[in-house]
Amino acid sequence: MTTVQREQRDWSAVLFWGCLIVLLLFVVIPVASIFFEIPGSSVVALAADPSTLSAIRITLVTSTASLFVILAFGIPTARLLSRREFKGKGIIDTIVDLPIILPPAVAGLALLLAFAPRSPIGKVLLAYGLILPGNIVAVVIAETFVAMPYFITSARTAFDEINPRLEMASSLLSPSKFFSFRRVVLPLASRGLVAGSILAWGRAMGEFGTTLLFAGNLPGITQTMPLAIYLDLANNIYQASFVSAILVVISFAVIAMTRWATRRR
Amino acid sequence: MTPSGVEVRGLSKSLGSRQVLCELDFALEMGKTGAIVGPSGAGKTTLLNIISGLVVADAGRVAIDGVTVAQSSEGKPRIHVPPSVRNVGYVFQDYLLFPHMTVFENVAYGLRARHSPSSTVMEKVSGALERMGVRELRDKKPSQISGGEMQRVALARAIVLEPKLLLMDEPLSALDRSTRETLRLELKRTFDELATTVLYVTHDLDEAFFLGQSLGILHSGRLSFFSSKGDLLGRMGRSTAEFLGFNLVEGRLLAVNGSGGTLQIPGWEPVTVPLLNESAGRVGQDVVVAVPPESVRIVTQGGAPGVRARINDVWEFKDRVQIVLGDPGKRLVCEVSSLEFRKLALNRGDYVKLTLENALLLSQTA
Repeated sequence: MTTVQREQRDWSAVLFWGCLIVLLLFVVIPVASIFFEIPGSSVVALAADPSTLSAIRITLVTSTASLFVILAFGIPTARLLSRREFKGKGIIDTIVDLPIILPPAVAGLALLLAFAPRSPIGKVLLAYGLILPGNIVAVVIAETFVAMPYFITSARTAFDEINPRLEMASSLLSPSKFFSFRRVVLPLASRGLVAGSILAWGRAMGEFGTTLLFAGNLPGITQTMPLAIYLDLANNIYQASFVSAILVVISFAVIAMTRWATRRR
Repeated sequence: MTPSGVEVRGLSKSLGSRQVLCELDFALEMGKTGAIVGPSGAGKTTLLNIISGLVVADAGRVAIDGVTVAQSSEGKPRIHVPPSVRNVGYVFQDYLLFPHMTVFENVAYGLRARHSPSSTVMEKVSGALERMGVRELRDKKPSQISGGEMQRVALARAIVLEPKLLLMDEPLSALDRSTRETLRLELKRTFDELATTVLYVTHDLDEAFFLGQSLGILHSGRLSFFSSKGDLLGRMGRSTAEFLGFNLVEGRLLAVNGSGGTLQIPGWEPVTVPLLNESAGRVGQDVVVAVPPESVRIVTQGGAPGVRARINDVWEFKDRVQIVLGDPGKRLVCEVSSLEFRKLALNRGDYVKLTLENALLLSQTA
């Protein structure tokens, strides 16, 4: 007698694909809800709203300014952490990464206590006529605080991946370390630096909690797009949805650009 | 007195608990090519790194064209001229071309770093690429060119700055045999034309003999000797040849024609071998010749002349293979790269035909 073995159905594949579909829907449904909430007939009016335009302007200005600060301080810091070994490096690494994990409310409070006019630094700033809370500079500081680690992590990995022997070869040919850095190190790390910049810029644009606590939510002064959504939620859900939709598009573009920047060419 | 092209005195270096170089002493005449032979881990690269200034010695002194560029004692540098100021060209084992730059930009890099005018850059880079025969590759990236071409570009990048001293760290080791042989000839021609002092390190004795006017043997961080090739060949006896890992073959020198000699090795057909040293006076005498393992070549073409021998053993190392040929009393060791060994597809017990590409007549038969 012969026995015929029936081919077993591959249930594991069904399980994996099922999980993926559930997860996709978990992201897509809420995000799509934002777009469905916007009445098509009011798009032009919503886009022309002065408070929305002001929030967009403040968001773009502050996130771009914070990106410049991040690049200016982040590139040398990432380079140092990548190539040098020194005492206490582990602690410094942890401190640099801390804002990634730190709850935004804690970060906001920390900045407020450090820079408010009653603090030692705040008193110095006050002497020069600068009160940070309620000032657009505070928005830049808050965004820099939370976005900096994203850039440093990416930049450091990019510097780590450069063959140190190439820098050695460069040091033989170039009397200037800065020339070597500009012509060899930076171009070789460029992919990681661009990816880190896009990530940090995107994170700065989406910043909410720390900015709210430290800079406040003052329309036309410190109100960024996430803060505008927060305010609009109570009295104009369409406006909140419209601003959210812009941020969704920007976030999608940020991820796409990061993928493009980090792909192997 | 003419200063030496490069002079090294009492050079020592330790890495952790391991002594990499131990009191090295040698001087290479200006404009000459010196070859230092040594196995992997002998300290060859460390020596070049110290001379170039990339690594600081624990003790000793380095002078280039009579000027002290490095001096250390008790682990501390007393004099350390920065690498880029020493005017040293360095061709690395793995070439280290900048992957994001074109061939032209790689060669131009040192000139641009020194703020040379663009007309000078264009002229000198074009000249260096022309000299190395890679002018047509000027717009290609290193990833688009072959190993042999990379070696030429690396040399162009080193010579474009007109260095006083050229350091070469096994630049041919990563190449296949035929490319290596072509480039070896080109290197010799280039060294002669440049008239720059060249210090060449390699694990290949054959290469060292071919390229070096002075030769040194570096083993476990110690330099056994460093002298002119003529001096070395004249003095070489059986014990030195054995130390160097040469095959020793006894036979009678039947004839000498040009730079080659015909040897009658007992039990073999007479073989013609290029001889590295003067031999005319010893025709008709019993001689001992030393043959580097890299100079024993297995012939794959059916009709080519050669001596038939059996493979008795195969010793595989990291990147090369030693094939033990012939009878126990007349054993010959042939060394090939692992890549070439795979191509040859040989096994123990196979019979192969072999030729001797270079041999050295020892100063005494006993």
